Amino acid sequence: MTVNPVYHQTNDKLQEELSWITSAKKDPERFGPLYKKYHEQIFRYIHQRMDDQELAFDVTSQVFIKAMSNIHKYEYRGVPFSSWLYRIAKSELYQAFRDRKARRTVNVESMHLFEMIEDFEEDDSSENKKRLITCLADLNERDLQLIELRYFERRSYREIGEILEITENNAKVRAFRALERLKKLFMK
Amino acid sequence: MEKIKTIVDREPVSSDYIEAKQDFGHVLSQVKNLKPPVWKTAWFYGPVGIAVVAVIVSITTLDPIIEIPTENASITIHDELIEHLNQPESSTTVQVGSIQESSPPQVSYTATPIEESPAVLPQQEIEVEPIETQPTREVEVVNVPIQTNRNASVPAPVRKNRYPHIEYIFNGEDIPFETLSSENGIQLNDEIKIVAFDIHYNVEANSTETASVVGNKIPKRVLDKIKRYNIGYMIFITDVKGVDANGKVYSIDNINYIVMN
Repeated sequence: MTVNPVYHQTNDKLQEELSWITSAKKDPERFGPLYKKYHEQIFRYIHQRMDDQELAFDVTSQVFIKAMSNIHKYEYRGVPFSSWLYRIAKSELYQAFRDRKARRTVNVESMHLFEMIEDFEEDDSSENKKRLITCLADLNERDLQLIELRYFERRSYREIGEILEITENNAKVRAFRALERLKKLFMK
Repeated sequence: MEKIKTIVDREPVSSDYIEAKQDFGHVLSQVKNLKPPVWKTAWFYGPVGIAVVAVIVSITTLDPIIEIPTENASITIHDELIEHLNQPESSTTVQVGSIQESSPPQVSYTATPIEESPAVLPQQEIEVEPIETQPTREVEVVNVPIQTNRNASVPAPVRKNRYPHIEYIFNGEDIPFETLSSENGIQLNDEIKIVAFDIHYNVEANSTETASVVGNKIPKRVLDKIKRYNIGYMIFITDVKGVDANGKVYSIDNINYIVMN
């Protein structure tokens, strides 16, 4: 599993980020470096979950507006700043779904489907692919989110834990259970 | 909820395009144009704050203090502790010059028996025998001014356990399946008995089921399903209701357990 280098950072990088945050708390215009660093990451997270690209850019902007106006509430807890941004993104995303502006979408690559079917020890037929896609749509939101984060976006359990505000071990257990439930649906 | 849409192999968006779409100036101007919500503004806190302070001050200063004359004063002490413990209410009349206990009160209360069968709980009127007390007796009078200090005369109510449990396994803990199926069921304390609850558990692949139970024990049918599908998973016990000896219904805290083998 690959490691997202923008998320996982050295201690020096985290300290540099912390100094940007301290400056941004005093003056919102100093938020620039953080915006530049995380804009793409947050956009991809949002775009992955909706089909409208322009709306994804709008929601991304909304995330940064929320982050900047609430930066005074941010507390450093030894994890990258992006985990806080992801939580805002998640909330904004569901707000967009609730407002019916956007439709919940799962973006998946054929390779991921293939790997998953192989994991289930089934044939890589087009029929099985279709079945897996149907099963994904039948999963509940919590399980789907874990499957996306772990198996489609290839995030580490630590990163998943920080995004979902759970421990790394809990992320591991939940992702495994979500995959088991998907497998059960698929095997039905 | 609308069905989820799945897109396979969507054209990826290039990093250059995303970078070109960055507009920090626009975000900054939006932040600057944001108005704080009404409840965060100074004008709101001014009048509202003053009003709150005024209400608090008036409540504390206007709290009536009962003044009772020292001669031939009659004080009725409401026994909060006894009431709390759901015993029959009693009142004691103290008269300067003689101490006299009033005739024993006729007490009746409604008790709700706890049943396991999913039926409407019947209410019974139970007549309690009058309590025997000592006859009136004369005592020597010492003329002491009587002060009404409710806190001093009434002992603080005893706090009972308010957290439900099964065999002293509390919310959030792992519970062995054998303990979950205990004959004692869900318990709270001596005064309040659990009479109903909802239990949510997994069934089959990806669905959950909820059973509404009357009584305090998890029915065998539900236990069988829990044993089959929920070992290692969390079950939720919600809408827990308890009743005391007076038939007063209480809402009790929810319980979550991870069921272990």
